[in-house]
Amino acid sequence: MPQDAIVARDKRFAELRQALPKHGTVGYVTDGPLDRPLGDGRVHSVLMIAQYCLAPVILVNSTEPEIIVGDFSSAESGAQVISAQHLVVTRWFENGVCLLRKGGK
Amino acid sequence: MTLISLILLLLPILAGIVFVSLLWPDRRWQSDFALKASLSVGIGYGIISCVFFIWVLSSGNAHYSAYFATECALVIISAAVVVARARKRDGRPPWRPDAASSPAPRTRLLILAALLLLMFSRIAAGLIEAVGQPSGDADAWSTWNLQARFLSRGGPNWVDLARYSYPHHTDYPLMLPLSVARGWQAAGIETAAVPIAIGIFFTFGTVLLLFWALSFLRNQVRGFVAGAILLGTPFFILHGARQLADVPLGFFILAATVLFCLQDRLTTRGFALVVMAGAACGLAGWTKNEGLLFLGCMILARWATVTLKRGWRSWLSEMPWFLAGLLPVLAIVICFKARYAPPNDLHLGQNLAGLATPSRYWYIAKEFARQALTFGHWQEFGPVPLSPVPLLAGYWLCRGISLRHEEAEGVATSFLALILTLAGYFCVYLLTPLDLATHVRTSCDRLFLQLWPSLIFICFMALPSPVVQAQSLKSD
Repeated sequence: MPQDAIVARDKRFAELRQALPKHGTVGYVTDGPLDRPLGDGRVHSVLMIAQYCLAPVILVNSTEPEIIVGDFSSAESGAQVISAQHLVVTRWFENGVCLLRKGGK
Repeated sequence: MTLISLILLLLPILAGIVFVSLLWPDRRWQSDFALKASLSVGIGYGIISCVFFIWVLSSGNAHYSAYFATECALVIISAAVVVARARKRDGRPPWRPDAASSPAPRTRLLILAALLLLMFSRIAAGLIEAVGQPSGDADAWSTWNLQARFLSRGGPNWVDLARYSYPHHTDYPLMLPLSVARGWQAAGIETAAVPIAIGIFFTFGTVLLLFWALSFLRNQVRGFVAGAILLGTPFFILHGARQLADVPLGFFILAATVLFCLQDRLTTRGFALVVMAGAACGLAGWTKNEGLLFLGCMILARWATVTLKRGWRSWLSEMPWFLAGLLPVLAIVICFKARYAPPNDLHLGQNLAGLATPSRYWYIAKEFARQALTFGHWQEFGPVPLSPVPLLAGYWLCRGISLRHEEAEGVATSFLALILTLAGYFCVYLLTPLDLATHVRTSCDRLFLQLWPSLIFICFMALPSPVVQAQSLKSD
């Protein structure tokens, strides 16, 4: 039986959720297309799943907000995106998930 | 999950039994109990979601212990009123006696046992599906359970859900999200068991309502066949287990349909069932936007049938009772839509040019016809699609309809309401700003699912019995 991709993502984001504010808008950045196949073999929007996992904060597909959620397939590929977008890691969690802010602040 | 959480999860059903009993024409609490209980599953959850919404607004979405204490107190006081009223009166049943022969008690027991056996096997199938995919269908977690998380986790900031705009449908009403959020608060943990349980309650509540309503208005054999068709519809069980709101909406549409047909069976001049029909229509609108369309269609259909058969005055005398049930729920829907929900995406980007494009009419009509012939995913049972729709339609065409004069109004109202709702869905597709093929492909079967239980009910209300027909042919 394929694993429920949403449950898996919920576990993945659990620790990061504790570090987020109780409400407000946060940015979102990832290292691939938003729509992609996950563990259950079906195509999902990773932004939509992250939104479900991290509610009640609002996620926007942008690096403009003060706090940004990084959702990468691995720490290595995440590091490339972080550097290309001039972001700064505030805290790394497990499985390629991190909290970021804009660089130069 | 503790015993108290389980009781709190079942409390809406008890609240439903109390509410339905308060309005039931026969005030003896034990009379027609199975029918009242099957109506109560959805109506109870619907009403409690409204009460919970008022609490969320008034308390800033906090103090849940006080809320549950108040809820329990309200249900206990109302139950005491039902018992007290039942003692005061011991009147005769207010229903017209049924001319149709009823099976012998032993046969009735066998039928009930067969239905329960079938139901347990389908509950098992639903549970296997639900356990394999505890988050439910994409629409379930990205719309309903997401809204529930805003309500459950967000405290006073639950209103932020209106700011969330990806992908769509954040304007959808809150019956299901509130029920799930309330269940999570009762359980003290955000568990998938709550939305799965609510999905199962509505799925099998719909089957029981169909069975008991037809058993009451016709006979148990018909009730069983209709219930078996619904239970056997793979698409119905699948969507119930996957926590989609189309099944609860189907419940409320069926409840309104059944209540109007029961109203025609009354010998006494009372409109309590119309009050309940109004509440059921309102709750349909509180479940999904399509329910608001159904509500408008039901009002139009009732106006047309009552006015044609009995004149304006009869409609005017009935309408205030319908509104008495509808308006409290509708006020909550309007409050949510006006103050908290973002504008509807389909409404905002209406494609008026679609009205003047004949190819769109042809495409939608073709898809509707295909859906009518193949609806239900019956191919799961074999390589040849075995949808009962063409079989029922064929039987109906060959044998005609069989309705008693006094029953024609309720059945005609319901049938017309369903046809108008289908016409409404057609217009929504015509005007959709989305890609038409994608929109139809991803939603048309679920729109049919919403109407499917009521369609089976109307079909079995109007179909002539083969036994009765054979007897009348013999006597001719």
